[in-house]
Amino acid sequence: MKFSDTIVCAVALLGIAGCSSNSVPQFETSQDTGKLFQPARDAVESELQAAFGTPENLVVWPDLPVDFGSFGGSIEKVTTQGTLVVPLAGQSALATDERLPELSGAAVLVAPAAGGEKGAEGGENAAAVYRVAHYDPESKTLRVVDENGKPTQVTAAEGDGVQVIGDGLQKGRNLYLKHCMHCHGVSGDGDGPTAPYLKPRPRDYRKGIFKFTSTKTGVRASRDDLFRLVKLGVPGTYMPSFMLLPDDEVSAIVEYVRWLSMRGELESKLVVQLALDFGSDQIGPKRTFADMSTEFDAFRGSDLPDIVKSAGEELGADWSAPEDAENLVIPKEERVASSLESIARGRKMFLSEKTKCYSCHGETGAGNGAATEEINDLPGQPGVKAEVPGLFDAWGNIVKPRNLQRGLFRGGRRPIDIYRRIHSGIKGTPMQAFGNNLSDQDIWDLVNYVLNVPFEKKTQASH
Amino acid sequence: MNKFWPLFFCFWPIVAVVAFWISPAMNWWFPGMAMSPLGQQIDNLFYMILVIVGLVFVGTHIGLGYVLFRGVAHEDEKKSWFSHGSHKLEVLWSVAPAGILLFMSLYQLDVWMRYRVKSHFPDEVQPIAEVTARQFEWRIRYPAPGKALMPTPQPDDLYTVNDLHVPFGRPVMIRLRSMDVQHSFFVPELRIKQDAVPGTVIPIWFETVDEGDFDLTCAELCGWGHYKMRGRVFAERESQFQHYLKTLQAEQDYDGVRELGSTGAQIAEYSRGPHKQAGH
Repeated sequence: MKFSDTIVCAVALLGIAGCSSNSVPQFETSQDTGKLFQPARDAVESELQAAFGTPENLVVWPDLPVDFGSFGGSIEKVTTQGTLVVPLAGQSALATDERLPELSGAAVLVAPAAGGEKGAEGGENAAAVYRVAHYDPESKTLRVVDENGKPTQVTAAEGDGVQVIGDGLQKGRNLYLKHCMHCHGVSGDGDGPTAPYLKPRPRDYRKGIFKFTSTKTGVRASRDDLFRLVKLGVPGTYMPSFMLLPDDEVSAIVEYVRWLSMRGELESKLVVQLALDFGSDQIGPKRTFADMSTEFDAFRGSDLPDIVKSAGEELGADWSAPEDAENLVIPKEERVASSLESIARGRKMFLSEKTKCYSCHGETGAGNGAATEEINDLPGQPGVKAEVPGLFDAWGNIVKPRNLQRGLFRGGRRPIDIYRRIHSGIKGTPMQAFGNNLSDQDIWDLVNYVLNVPFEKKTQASH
Repeated sequence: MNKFWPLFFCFWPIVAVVAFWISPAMNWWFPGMAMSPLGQQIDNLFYMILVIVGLVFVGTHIGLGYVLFRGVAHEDEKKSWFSHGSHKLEVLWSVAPAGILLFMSLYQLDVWMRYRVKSHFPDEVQPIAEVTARQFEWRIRYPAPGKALMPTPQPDDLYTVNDLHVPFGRPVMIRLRSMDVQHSFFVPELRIKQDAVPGTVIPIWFETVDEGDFDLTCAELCGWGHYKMRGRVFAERESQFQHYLKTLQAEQDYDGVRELGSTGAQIAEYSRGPHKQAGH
């Protein structure tokens, strides 16, 4: 019977070993934050913690234009300690009835009913914060726990308003960690475990820049852009299509990616403000660590809260803009039908001094223009020459202008996609926006030419 | 206690026989009923092998049980003796399995030829799409509605990813390619498994008996993302298939001016299955 004992032992060992390797995902701070002196670094980290939390414990910052997935209702009855009867209804696109049985861990705000003007004047602190332990849509009972997951007493009365927020974000987080994290990283820094093996590198969201958008120059990516990109993938890169994920899951992932981008942007906005005065390299004989700490304490007390607040407002404005139809690139004129004449006009435009397309994409569209062999400025540092020849993107990687002969279009192959690439450029890359200099007719000719480049020899031969 | 091992070794073959006996009825044996005529023939081959192997299995285990029980029944301790074997027996148990194997290989030739050999493909089967496997997705190229698929890309070709739509009720062919490493086009419900080899174009034909959507997976470990290389095969009515191509064409010609609805909604429409498009 020794034999079966061994099996039991082996199974037990496997069980123990299998569970012990669990690691908790963490947001990592950027390299730039690492260059600040310690108290400033701590301050950035604590501001990020306050506004975004950790992957385990997400924080909802209501100022951000993110669909956190909120439900609301008013209390019908307080049954026992920590259990309320509340009919909950979704208040946003990500808050659907199917989510109700799965609500767990989302934040619960219980605010006294607006029973008279007093309650409203009572201040913002009136709402008490709990977390959902369980919600049963049948009996409409909501069991809540305190922020640490411990049973708690709820001070609430019939008619009080209940808000459950952050469920959509949690769903997005779970899906992101399952499908996206291993390339794009937990913090969205494009540096997940598989990232070192990929070229081109996975997108680093922290600049808030996405290359292929339907929006105007300088405007962030819209939800639709990211949705489409996740569904269809980016041909020619390692970004695969997630066509089989249900639409609601893709929307949740998109929302989480937008939120991660905002987190990264807030971090860099704070670092930009702090790097001038509080870099760790500025500690020296003239300015000791103690001097700097004193200065920083004063700064932290007076200026930092305002900086965070205005950064939040900027994020709010920047990330709502792409949802505004006014900021979408919509051609005024219909596409000029692809004809030999239009293609010829497009080719002329491609080779003209007005556009200089050829300087990067090459005269035959092979992506080997002269600019790829020149020493260019480093991204974001005008006047500072790179050590190696080539074109750089905003992330500091060398990018090759698209080889148009291959017929692979990363941002999509529809005429409108290529129109938008030409009209508002490819964000974060040397591909400029030509929308202000070219008429719709010119751009459509260029689109027709670009779409025809892979077939060029055939067109000429048959003519 | 003496009888423990004989009983132990008899118990498992009985469990195995019972399991194999009921498995076709319980749907444990195959991933559902074969949805293609050729797939049903392939299933029949599997069942034939199961019967042959099952008879041999039952026979040898009855023999093994007999020997075990007789050995236990012998109380007297005799010295064991070593046999140099029997030439006749060795010839018998070599020739008999060889004969069975030869029979199986000849018997399946017909199905294999219909599946793999071009000259035995159905007469008027035409390629309807080119499927290019790449890490980690299936890129699909259709000809424009009403046109034939050309070996090289054409300006009016239609492109999609991970969703292969085919009409049911007639044999269709796809051209299988790989852009990077070796992949394998595996549709379990249609009993199709074919490696995609870089540098070659491999034709696969199949016929789907009814409408439905089937899982398409990669069956060749192709890299770290192998597990997420999933697609779907939608078998739909001819009219639905043509409608799908037309929708794809409208989407692909979209210039942002002519009305088409929001881009997200358009893509959402494609990712829906034929069941949800039943209205068309």
